[in-house]
Amino acid sequence: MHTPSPLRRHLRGLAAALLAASLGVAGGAATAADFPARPIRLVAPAAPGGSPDILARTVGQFLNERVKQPVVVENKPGGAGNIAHELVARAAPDGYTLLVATDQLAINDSLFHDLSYGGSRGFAGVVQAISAPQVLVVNSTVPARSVAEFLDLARARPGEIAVATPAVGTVGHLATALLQRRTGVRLNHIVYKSAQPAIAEALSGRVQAVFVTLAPALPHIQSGALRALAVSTAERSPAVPEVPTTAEAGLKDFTFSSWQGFSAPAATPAPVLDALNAHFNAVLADPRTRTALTAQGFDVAGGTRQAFDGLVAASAAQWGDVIRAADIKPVD
Amino acid sequence: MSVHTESAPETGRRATGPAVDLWAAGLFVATGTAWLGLAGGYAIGNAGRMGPGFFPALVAGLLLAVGAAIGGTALARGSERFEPFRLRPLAAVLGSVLVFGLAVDRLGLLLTAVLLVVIAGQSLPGGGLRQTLLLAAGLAAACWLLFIVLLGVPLEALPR
Amino acid sequence: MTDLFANLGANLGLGLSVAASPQTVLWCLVGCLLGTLIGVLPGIGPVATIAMLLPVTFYLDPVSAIIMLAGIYYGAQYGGSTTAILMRLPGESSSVVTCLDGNAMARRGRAGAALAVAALSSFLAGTVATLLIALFSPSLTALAQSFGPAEYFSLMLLGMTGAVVLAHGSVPKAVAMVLLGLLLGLVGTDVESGMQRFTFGIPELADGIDFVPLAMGLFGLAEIIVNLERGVAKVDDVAAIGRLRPTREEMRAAVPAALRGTAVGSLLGLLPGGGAVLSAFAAYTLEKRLSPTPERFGTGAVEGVAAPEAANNAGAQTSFVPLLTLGIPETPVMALMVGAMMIHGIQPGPQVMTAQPALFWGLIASMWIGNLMLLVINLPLVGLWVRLLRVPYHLLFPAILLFCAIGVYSVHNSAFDVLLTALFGLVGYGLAKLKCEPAPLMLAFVLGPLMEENLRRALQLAHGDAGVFVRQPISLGLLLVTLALLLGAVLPAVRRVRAVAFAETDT
Repeated sequence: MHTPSPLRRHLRGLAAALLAASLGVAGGAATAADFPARPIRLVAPAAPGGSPDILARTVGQFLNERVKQPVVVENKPGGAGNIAHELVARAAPDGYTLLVATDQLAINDSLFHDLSYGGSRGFAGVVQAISAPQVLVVNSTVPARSVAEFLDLARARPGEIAVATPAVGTVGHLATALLQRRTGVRLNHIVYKSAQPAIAEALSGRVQAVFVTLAPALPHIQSGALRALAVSTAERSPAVPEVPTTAEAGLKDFTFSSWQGFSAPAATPAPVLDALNAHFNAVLADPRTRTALTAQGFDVAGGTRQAFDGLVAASAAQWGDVIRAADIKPVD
Repeated sequence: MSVHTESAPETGRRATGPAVDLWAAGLFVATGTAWLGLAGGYAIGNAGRMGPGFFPALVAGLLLAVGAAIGGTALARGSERFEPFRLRPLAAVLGSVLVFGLAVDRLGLLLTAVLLVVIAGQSLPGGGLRQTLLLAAGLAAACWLLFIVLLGVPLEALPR
Repeated sequence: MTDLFANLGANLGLGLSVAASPQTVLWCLVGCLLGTLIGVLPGIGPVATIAMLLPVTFYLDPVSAIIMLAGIYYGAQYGGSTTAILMRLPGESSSVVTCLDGNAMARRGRAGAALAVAALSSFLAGTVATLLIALFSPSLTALAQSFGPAEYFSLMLLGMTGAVVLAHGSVPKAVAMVLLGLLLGLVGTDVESGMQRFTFGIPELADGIDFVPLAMGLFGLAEIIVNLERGVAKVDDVAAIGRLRPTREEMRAAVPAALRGTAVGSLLGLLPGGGAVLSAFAAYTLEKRLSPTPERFGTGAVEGVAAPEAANNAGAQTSFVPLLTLGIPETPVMALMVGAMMIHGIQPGPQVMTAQPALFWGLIASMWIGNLMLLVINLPLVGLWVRLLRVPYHLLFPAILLFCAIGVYSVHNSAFDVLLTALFGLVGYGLAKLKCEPAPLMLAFVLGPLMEENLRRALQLAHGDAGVFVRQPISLGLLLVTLALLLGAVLPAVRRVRAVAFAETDT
């Protein structure tokens, strides 16, 4: 509803550039050569310690070494990410305020009725930083060794197999809704506040299965307490190479991953975005960054900013379909 | 019967003015009713899959009932009386915090801190403005050093 | 049995070999000191302190960083108790209880004794809890897992009932305050449906009301307004300091209370779904029930400081077991600790104890060292903190207000939370005038969302059969204790009413 037209966006960018030039302060902001000349703010839609915060701090530390400017992580948790989204979308489009963008940005386009910042189109992608597979796991006592066996079990006892997922509107939650939609099985879908308590309930055996991001489930898969049935990505995960993909397990059109990256306000000038993209790609290619991020269960991504824009748009479309198909009511 | 209890020693210094428990009951009944009304707009669901309205409606209903009981007891047996109110400290303290919340993102920490201390200082009669300003300046500088310089709280020091 | 102690020796030996190196002891000391100094600022609780100091630890190796964080945590917690005692400003849920009798002691000139008892009880509890973890940690994890939604719901119900007993005024008003707290706790996004409830369309309320603005408003601001209303001349009297050290009688009352608090806290801390928030409240309730003179509670009973402080510290210690073995953070502070560990490349999970025994036992041992440091730092500081009370109130209260405002802001970097604080200040003032105690409200506020979540989840898992609450033995046991507590609270009241009625018919 409040989405600015492209023309308005350009005008706003032009006005910002004129203002900057007339003030003679951030005159360098539009040219890539001496960017960055001031500290960079990374706004994470999470509390300290949340996954976007960890990404921001890890990348921020190495980015700081590279650009010789302080990189400050600012935590703006809450409102399913919308508080952080809003803040960055309204910040000066000079490349000094960036958002740690997550799937939530794309999902919120369809999950919320009326986003005052214009949804994911209010941002210009800088780079995709990481991706992470989602994984369907069962308690080791559940007699199902594959997705097919799991679905048979669920068909034999409709509505009785309990599947735990993290909060409404997360990828795991939507994926479980999608699974029921696609296969026609009826599960007892139980929603938790986040991944950890959902996993704990699966460990205790009170729920049979859980659909979450791989990283927090990985230690329990390795210990044998939980059994992974499938990963949601197009390719198998190097962390659990023996686990098939959803496509291999026979689920059609059921391939997705969760991702995180960095985005700037939509009106940020292209040269600044290019400079930022180059800096971030260099940091992501650094073996030290790779080691640190892999240890946290992330797959390091990188790439062009156009590719990231494409990913955000594709995710927004994909989850929009799921939300409509699963009849999840948008929130005002 | 109420005459009895009003003369009891624990009913407070002043035997005039409105009864505390009646007002408390009013507050509970009003809150219970308001939240029951709001909860009515949310789905109740069934036992196997409770809706978002079930628990709030239950709690709000209970609050209404307990509030009514407190009110009934107060009417029947009386209750203690209010202590005197004074508007000045209330307005100054709440006002100072409100102004801080409204201004801090625009005016920066230094100016907002001075505002808070000066407004809060109005809660007491007398008190020279010079002394208050001195205290305000000192506290603002100390907070700037502690929170912005040393601890890196993301606040601007000066107006944006 | 010998096996048990051989294990104990080996585990603690390994832990101490990691944690007692001069370097880690130094980081622990620095952490404790920083944590105390920041945590003692009014309005800045442990969550804000740890969030602010977290980046400091990024430059250390993982073991030193985690140990320093543990030091910060302990320091912040103790600093928080200090402000709770001196200024009636609880920075986290457990300090709400410390406020009750700790601040009452301070008003009677026993601030020094209250601070010393708090430090000594914490140390005692920390020591016992460390031994417990070292002895039983593998079986402790199994106990934690036996708690499902039904058990949690029954535990929460017991906690609420305890909160009613906690109040020293009218029982019906305490019940109403619990219900009011439950309602406030329900503000925000419903976990099950994603629906926003009672948010009035305000996006900042989508995640609910935060603890800090509510506590700072109801306790801190309301207290300041009431103090100012009474007039500064009277307020400045509070500066009577008295003897710093606890008297012999105070110690005699405090030690058993601290031991019981340790037992309660250790047990509740193990439960991964919010047991720790209950520990201080539960220990206080227990003391009040056991005491031959329950009417002293709320007016400066030393047991009312010793027991909750011990329980809180013991619970903080044992809650590292589910945190490390299951990766479940119980409290906002624990969530920060998980984040800190992940930043340092440690993924909490069952493998931590077996694959990284040096880290696990080092952490446990460092907690004990942290507690020792705390004692070393704080006993000498007690005199200094108490002297703060000598600062004239007209200079002190603007500083408290300013720190509160900044502290509230810094938890989520949110100016909206500061506005909420002012609103709850008004509510708190109103409640004080209405003679309603805010402590039961705070407990219910913290437990409310957990209670609803577990109620719904238990029934969902049982396909709508409410019998699940009495079929599970642990749940049934908890419900029976609740019933006993309820009868214990109601019967005397009924008897009193009858006595009054009889007295009236006599006249």
